[in-house]
Amino acid sequence: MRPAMSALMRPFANFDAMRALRAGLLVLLCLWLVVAVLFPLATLAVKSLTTPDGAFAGLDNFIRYFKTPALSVSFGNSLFVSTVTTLAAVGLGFAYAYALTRTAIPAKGFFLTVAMMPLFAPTLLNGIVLVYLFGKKGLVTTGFFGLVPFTLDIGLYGAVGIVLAEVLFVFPQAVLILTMALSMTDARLYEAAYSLGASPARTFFTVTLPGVRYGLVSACFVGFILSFTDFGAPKVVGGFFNVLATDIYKQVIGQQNFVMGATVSMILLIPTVLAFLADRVSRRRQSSMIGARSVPLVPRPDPVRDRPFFVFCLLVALAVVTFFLVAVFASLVKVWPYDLGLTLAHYNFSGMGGGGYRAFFNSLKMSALSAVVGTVATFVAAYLIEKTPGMGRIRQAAAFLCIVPLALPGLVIGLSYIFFFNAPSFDILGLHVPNPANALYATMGILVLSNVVHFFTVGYLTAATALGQLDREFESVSESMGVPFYRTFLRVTAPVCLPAILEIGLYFFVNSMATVSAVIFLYSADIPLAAVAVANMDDAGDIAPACAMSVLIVAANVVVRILYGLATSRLRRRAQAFAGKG
Amino acid sequence: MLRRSHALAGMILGFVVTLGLIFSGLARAGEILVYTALEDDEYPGYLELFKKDHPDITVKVVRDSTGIITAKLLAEKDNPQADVVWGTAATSLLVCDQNGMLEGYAPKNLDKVASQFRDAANPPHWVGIKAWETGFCVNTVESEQQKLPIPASMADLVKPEYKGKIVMPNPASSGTGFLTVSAVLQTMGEEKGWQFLDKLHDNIAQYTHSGSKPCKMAGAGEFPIGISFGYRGIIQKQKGEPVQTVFPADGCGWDVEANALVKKATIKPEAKVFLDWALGADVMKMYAKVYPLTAYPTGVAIPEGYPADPFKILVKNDFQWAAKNRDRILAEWTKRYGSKSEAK
Amino acid sequence: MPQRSPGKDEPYLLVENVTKRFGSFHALRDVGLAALAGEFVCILGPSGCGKTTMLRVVAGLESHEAGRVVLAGRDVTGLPVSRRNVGIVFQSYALFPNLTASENVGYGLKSRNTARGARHDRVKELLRLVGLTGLGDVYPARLSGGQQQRVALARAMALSPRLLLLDEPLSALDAKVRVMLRGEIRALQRRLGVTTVMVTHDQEEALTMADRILVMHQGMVVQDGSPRDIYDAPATPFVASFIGAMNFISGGRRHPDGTVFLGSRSIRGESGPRIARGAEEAGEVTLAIRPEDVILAPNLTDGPDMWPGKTRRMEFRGGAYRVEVTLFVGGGERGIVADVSAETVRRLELREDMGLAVGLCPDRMHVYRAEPRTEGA
Repeated sequence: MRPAMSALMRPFANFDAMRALRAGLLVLLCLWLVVAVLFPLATLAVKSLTTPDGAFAGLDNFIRYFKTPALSVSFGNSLFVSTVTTLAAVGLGFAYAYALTRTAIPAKGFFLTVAMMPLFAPTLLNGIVLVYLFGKKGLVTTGFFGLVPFTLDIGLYGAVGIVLAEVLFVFPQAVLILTMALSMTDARLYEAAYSLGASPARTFFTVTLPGVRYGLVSACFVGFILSFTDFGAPKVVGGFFNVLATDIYKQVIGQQNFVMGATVSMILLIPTVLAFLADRVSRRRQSSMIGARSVPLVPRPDPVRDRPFFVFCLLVALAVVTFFLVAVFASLVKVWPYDLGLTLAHYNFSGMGGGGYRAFFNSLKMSALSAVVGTVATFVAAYLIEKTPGMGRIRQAAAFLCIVPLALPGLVIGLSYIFFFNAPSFDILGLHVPNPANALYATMGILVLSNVVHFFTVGYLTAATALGQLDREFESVSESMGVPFYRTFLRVTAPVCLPAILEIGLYFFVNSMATVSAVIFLYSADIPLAAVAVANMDDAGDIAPACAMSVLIVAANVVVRILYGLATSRLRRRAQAFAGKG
Repeated sequence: MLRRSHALAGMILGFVVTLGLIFSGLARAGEILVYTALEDDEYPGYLELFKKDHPDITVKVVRDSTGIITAKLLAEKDNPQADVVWGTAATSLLVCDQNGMLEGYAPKNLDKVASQFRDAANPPHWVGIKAWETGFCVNTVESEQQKLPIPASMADLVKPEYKGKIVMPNPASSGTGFLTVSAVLQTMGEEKGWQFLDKLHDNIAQYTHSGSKPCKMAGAGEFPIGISFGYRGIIQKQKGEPVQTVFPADGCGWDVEANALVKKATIKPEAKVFLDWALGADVMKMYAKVYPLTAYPTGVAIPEGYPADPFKILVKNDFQWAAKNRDRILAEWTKRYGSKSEAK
Repeated sequence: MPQRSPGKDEPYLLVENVTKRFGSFHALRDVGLAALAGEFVCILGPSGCGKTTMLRVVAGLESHEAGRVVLAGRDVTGLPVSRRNVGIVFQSYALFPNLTASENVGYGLKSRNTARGARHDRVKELLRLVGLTGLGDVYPARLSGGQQQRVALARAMALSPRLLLLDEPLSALDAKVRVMLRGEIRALQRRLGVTTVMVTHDQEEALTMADRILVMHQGMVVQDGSPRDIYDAPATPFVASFIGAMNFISGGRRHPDGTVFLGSRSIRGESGPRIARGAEEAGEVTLAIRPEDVILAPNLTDGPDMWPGKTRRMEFRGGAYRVEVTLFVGGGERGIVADVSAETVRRLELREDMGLAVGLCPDRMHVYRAEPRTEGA
């Protein structure tokens, strides 16, 4: 063969179907993320720059926002509430996580489980239970209906109520991040400090705090983002105290002002994105800090230190447990506060808004679908990004797109999805482009999609971490043997990552059950949802049934969590047969 | 190679089928989508009657507060989802009509409907079925304990002893809230009206999202007085809550709950069947059992708790004025009191 | 494409002028490699020298900017690894943890549509070959490091590859297992006659196993030859110090007539010192000699190769001692080390700080061009 000829033929002779397929899937992933994340966001941004009639308005909407005192006040309110919440929740979370990792208190497993409980509930429940505890007719306010001589009115409605509810919401996240940070330490540092005669306080400030500073920073940013964008709690106990998240609802739903809703959404995005970026930067620094071979720290019993921490944990756990007991109790009381007889009547949702049990079962279905689709999507995305050889640029782009949803509050996703999916067509530069995504509007599909996008990043990061721990050469080995990548994916990669896959599934399920923010804009008549029903019943003033529905949501999540626990313990037992690692 | 591509094709097919299953579920023929602001504990009873009369038609209902139903309709202006609007404030329907979203239709029994209950156009773009009016829900137990006299009029509500004791719906989201504010502005004139609302604002503990929530809060004793509407208080009393309903003597605001046909590319005949039924004599009698103010007389006795001549207490309400000025009133209201509104 | 088997002296594997960058980092600069059929070639170098990248280029796991790879007479440049028919054993073994030893070994066979029975027999045969008969149903985590290594080897051999590539296959093992497996791998490779390229940073491993060694440094091949060549005639000071130990004695001079001087004395022997490339011209040079070639004598007998010296520290190494010696050259001192058998130490009654004669045999000396800061041993 002549050289020129062979050079011509080379691209065909060397065509690698498997690599091409993988590259194609990766490109497909990027396209999907662009359509599901960036396009709707762009539509939202465009909306915020137009008049209600669709004419270009520049920054007029933003100027009007900040000129309307009733609205711009919310911005300050939001910042204030989320700052206080973050400080309180991270402070509590740090002490709690410290107790769980650095002391020798008993019942750590119990304490950790209890701390995670609030993750199972819609934030609306946080507000509702606070009303039952601290409202005008609350248990604490009335001194347990006069049973105890002591009464306390904390003036629930307003900043106080919001902060209390949000602290409960953020606390589990803070504990999660900080236990992780605190357990990733090197015992030898402490031995060194001890042998050098450093006092416990000095050790704490010179070793402990610097060691977890990135965890602390991360917890702060996550806490800030969560409380800044949550609307469930302020909706119930906010009273006069307006925040940005509830403003969006008031603008969109109360006043039919979609343009202003979009504007407030964009304003909501600014601090959120800033916090997100700061967190990213700090995380990148952190990765260079963790030593390759650290010795895990095993705390020794020390009654002087352990006892106060045990009491502290007990009190916090007691508060969380009480919270849920009050929820169950309130949902069973006949007519609070006049007839404290017990009844299951509130669990019969007939004559209530929100859709009752139909909503509950829809939520189960939606969460199950979100769990399946979300887990597959995040795991495959992480697999393609982590394990595709070459294609550096596209992989980087995809990895970035996978992280973006973390910065997007649910209500921004929900509102942008209305704009994007309800438009029958777009006029782009005078071109009339029909919108195929319109078919999704008002279907289960859009609900599942919004959940998958809303919770995408955490699932993706979990999958990426699990995949990163696998031997990097699995792919090379199978490729060298001519085994197609998807077979190794199904036969080896996925089975080995099963614990992480289940964890991602659980995460998607639990969050989809409890979330209100994105889906409240997107649910349709024939697909009512449980968490939205809670919001609707609370709106109508049917607070006891709202509480009852929340209890059902929590119960469903607890059941799924137990199933997850059983499945993973079985897996772990089986895994011990073939691998030393859990 | 053949086997590999088979396996792959299978995987892709499976995924597509799964997606298809998820994304199916669009409206089918013989099925109509109805938007309504009727109360949650009210409309299911009516609907049962419809199902008995028309078993072949499936009705899917979206029920929400007046403001939300209006917002949804406006949001979907370019791609309307609903076929029919049922029992929603005439003021809101007027806004929709101004946006050209309603189709004229003359349902059966239209000739019996009083003129103030229907659109003047022929065929009318909206037809009322009944009216609802402002009603204070007062918790008798709490009033006694806190030594509060039971208010009898709007004017009573601005008395200092009621400071922090009153809950009222946000007019932006609640039809009840809007008709109350609109009545104040229409009876007192705008200038005096806003002055009155300023004073009322000082006494308000919370503005709520829905018109029923103030009554339910009053029923639970969270706040002793809720500005709500008649039906709510009367039903809650029937349920055993210590609630007394007061219709303000000095001008009771009201609005018509009306039906309309949504303008769409294909208007389903079932939608017209539904509109005929919703104005029919049978269901009108059911409306009348809880609402004394119906579109045409039914002969049903006035429900307990309402005044003997319910029409007499109503203020004169100019719907056209209210609809035309709705945006302006809400903007002014939000500017003045927005920061005190309940979240959402 | 016409496929022909290469002639006897033609290389079975030929890598030419390969260049590879990672961003601005030059991982491989114009490197080449040739292996005859059945040959065992070691790529030796410190970490980061590009040896693993070189192996991955040969395997087809890594693309490269320039150069070509020819395998069994066929240009495979740009061909994916799946079409090159190579068996690879990775440093980590990359055994699938959820599959048994048998399943791991048979993994590639399954997708080749091999009949079930034949597959079973082949797996059994492979396990027997690597000495793991009876361990087929065991999961990798339950196997010892050496056993895991053998499973990886059996798996790489399962598809009868044209080329076997080993990436630091022994580095994760205990010293004793490592020594044992060296012999086993070599024996197996000889028996199967498979052309093999192994990457290692362990010079002893390379010296004992390889037919030929390629020494790499900073992305370049610095020397290519038999183990003896490499050891006896290291091409550069880097190779000299990387493979075995080497004393570097600075301050030599090469006269225009070719004579090499240290201090005022010329270094001359039967064959004379070996002059490395780059040191042919007159000028400053560095002399080098391996510690085992340094001779210690009780007193300064005559002889052109003997220098006055003094022992410093003595390090006991079991059968031998490593002795630090100060050499008096002209007016200056040079520190070198000598490896001396325990018997010699006893015979000479060597102790620290003892004056003695040091013999530097010119025939065992190497001459390199003097470079700033070339310190050795």
